[in-house]
Amino acid sequence: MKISIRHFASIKLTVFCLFWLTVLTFWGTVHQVDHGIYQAQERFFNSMFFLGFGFIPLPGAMLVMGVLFVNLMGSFLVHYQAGWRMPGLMLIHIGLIMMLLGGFFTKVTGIEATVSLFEGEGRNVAVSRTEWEISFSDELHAVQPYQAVDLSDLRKGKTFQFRDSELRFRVMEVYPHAEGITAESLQTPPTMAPESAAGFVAIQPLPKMKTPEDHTPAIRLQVEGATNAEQLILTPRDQRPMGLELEEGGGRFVMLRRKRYELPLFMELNEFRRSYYPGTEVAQDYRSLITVRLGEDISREVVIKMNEPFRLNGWTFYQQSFAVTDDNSEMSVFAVTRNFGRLVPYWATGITSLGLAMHFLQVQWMQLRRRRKRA
Amino acid sequence: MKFLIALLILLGLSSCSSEKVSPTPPTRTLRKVAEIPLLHDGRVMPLDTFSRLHLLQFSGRKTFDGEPAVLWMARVLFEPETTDSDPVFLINHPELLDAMGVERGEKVPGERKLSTRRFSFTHLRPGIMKLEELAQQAQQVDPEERGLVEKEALRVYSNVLTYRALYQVFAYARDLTELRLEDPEIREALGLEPDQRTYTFLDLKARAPALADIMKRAQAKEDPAEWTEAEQVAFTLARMMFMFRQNLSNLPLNLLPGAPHGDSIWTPPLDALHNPEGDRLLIQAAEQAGELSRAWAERDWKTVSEKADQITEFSRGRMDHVRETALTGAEARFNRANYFGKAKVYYLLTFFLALGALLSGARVLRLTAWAPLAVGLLMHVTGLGWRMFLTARPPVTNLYGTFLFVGLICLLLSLLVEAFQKNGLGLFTGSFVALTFLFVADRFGAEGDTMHKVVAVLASNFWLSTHVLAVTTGYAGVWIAGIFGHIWLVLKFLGKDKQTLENVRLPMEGLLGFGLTFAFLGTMLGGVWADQSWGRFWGWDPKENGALLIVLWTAVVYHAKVAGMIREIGMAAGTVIGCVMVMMAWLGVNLLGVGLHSYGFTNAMAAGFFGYIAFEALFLVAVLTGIRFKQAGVGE
Repeated sequence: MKISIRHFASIKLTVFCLFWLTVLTFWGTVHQVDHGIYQAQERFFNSMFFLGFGFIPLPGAMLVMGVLFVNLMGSFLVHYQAGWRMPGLMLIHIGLIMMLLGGFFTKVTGIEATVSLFEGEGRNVAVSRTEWEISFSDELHAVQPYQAVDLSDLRKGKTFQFRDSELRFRVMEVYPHAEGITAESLQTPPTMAPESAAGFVAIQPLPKMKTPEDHTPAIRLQVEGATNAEQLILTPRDQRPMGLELEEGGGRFVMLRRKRYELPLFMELNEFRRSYYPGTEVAQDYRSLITVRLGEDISREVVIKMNEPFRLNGWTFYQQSFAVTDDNSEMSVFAVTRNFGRLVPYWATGITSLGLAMHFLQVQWMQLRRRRKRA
Repeated sequence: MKFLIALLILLGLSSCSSEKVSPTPPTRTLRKVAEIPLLHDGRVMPLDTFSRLHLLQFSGRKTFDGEPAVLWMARVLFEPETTDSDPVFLINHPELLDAMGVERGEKVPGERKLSTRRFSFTHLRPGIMKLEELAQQAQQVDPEERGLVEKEALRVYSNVLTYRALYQVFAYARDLTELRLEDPEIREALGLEPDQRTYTFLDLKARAPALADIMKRAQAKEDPAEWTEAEQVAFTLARMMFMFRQNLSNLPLNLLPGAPHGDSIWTPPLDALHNPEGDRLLIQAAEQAGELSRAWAERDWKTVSEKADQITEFSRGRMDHVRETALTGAEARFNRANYFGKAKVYYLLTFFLALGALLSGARVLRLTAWAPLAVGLLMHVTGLGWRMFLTARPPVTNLYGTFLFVGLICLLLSLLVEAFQKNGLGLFTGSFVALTFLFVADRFGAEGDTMHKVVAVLASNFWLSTHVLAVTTGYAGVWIAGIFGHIWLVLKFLGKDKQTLENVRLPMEGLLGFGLTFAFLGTMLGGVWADQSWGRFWGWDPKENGALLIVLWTAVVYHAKVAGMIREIGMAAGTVIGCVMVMMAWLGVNLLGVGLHSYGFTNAMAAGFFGYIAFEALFLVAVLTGIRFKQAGVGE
């Protein structure tokens, strides 16, 4: 057992991991020029393996960081006795373990979404920029209550069902980025056309875009328990939810849309202000004056501006951008995140930096003493 | 096009007395003119800075033929006929001149002197229409696909347009020589002096009520055929004044603040003269600006001084809530002081003295080197301090600032080494690196205003003084460690003794640790800033990755050394590659043009960057091969 821990604690393994991370960081950065940040992230940084030069399987950053984490833990366990003599080293390793753990925790549990508000408008839901869901409700324009299933959880052949309904869905095709095909563009129209609010009869995948926000997913479902549809095609091009008539009577509405997150507050935009440096189009400041309602009787006025977000119960609201419509109405866009481990990297940064400073000062001090003794 | 036509029309109306040779104004007067505030690119700056920026933009130089930029700009503004023959338009690609149909090798009549790369307006004049055509064609091409000559055509055309627009800013105060008012009736009605034969737009504007009376009288007549000659002239004059205003509005010199104590809306003097609110004080200031212009042309330096004071006071009074307005004098003095230029001279002196000390081992040379170094350091620190005071920001807000700051930190770290070792090595490396970075800063300074306003997301003094300073200090540490790495490898190649090598290796390793600590802290603080601003700690943005590369590479070098995978030679080579990593993080990522941190980057700088990488690669190959051969030779 001890031997295996020593293997994992090998400093040569550390060198290999750090070197490969250096290569990945460089490669991934250069890759961004033609493919954008998102594709570089997916290929190099969020992957366990990727194909180098199209055919060589190589370890991705997730795998390398995982190995590095084990290596750090092993090193910490094996060398902790030396660590007391070199407290800086110990702090560095503790900090880095925290950093890797915090990053992993954020990746697994974090939420990133946006809220867009016109002046006078209010919302209590945030919309994901990259994730999609199939919503299911009793009413055509239901805001709430509704049920939903995440598109990222669906694979070909998977079946799913919503509560209080006999309807059953089976995934026939699902693509993260695709386009719908109309009957007119097919040489031979399908014998059984699926129901589609946008009038599509088939879907076909497209190459991924540079930014995930630009993806338009599509899904083809087989439906059981509906009288008006045997197959459904759902795409973001659908202008309205698809109505399904149930065999047992009544109806339900399904729609593919960007994933919603319920917020712990109701936020209302009172005013959006922006200013530019005079005579230029360089933004000097932009800020939103909002009213936050936390219940029937509790409300407060908050200003959200660049570098000064508003935080509440693990959620953070940032001034992200704004848009001006044709009729000159201004819309303020907020980035919304939920990250319970937000402060972990902060602590990890402090601990590692302190460790680095202590270690290098100690090493320098020891070397100077050694030289003086020799002299 | 409309603008150019208007300028060409008005060219004929403006007076020309090209015989005059302008004697320079007294220094005191010129300084007052230099301190006049104006608004340019979103910030209030003195006319001095405006002049430097424009001369730099046109000619790539901060002075013209030894003449301060502000003096040259004053000539453009107040007596433009004297600057047409100044070779100030830098043309990097002679093919453009061929395309314009302009002779490059011959001096044209009236041209001040012939230069191989800089040409006067007089020289370019025959090809201006062709240049406009070339620029319009280049405009149609996708910016990514524009060739060098197309880019050059756009740049030169833009400079010529700006020059000609500046030329016209004070046209309203110059004599309209082609205008003849001989009719006695209109002369009497306008109250013109009997001996006055030339008039300015200002003269006519002062007589606008009388002109309006004549026109009203004419309009009362049913048949225009009944109009007297005076009435016809009145209409022509009114139309001409209207055209003048229309064509010369919005010229690129926002000299006068419009609203008192309000938003910073600054206007050119002619627009101020016709401000829609009828602001009397603003009109008066525009008239004073016109009087300044006339007084300059007449060499009445006392009036120039007086009017410059009045305009400055007017702007400062109106804009007392905008800090920079009160600081234009300080900025002009900062420009004149040229602290970084002087620091370079002292660093150069230090470099030679320290080199002499290293080669000869003479103690006296080493001790003497401290004197110019101290003065250079004082200049460097003072310059940075002035910049911080003027911008009310930490020392680093743009690429230009990073070179000033990193140069200083490298110098201080080297002096720390010198303080321990007392052998001249720290003085040598410190002065060399500081000097180099001040020269590189000059290259970036030539790109435009170095004290420009920062965009909203960067407008945080807290993060600029934590993340940015930490990460650039990290750059400095890794870079100076790399310089010691270079020296170690060269000494090793030269077969120096162990003690000499140890004197270089120890600071090299220590400085690498210093660099790693600050690069890590800075990189992570960048993550904290990103978390505060955008809601995510890490996004694999190129600039983040660049900083991470430094951290990772430095960690690789340290761990490889501890693991016994490399020894001294590997360590030194690793620090040299560390320098390359620093350059990639610092400048390389800007070449990629992606991400939230990307800045503008010119082709020349890209060439310089790749040239540097090639140099380091060649250096490593050469020196490592040399060491290998030497070691093999010793072994045999």
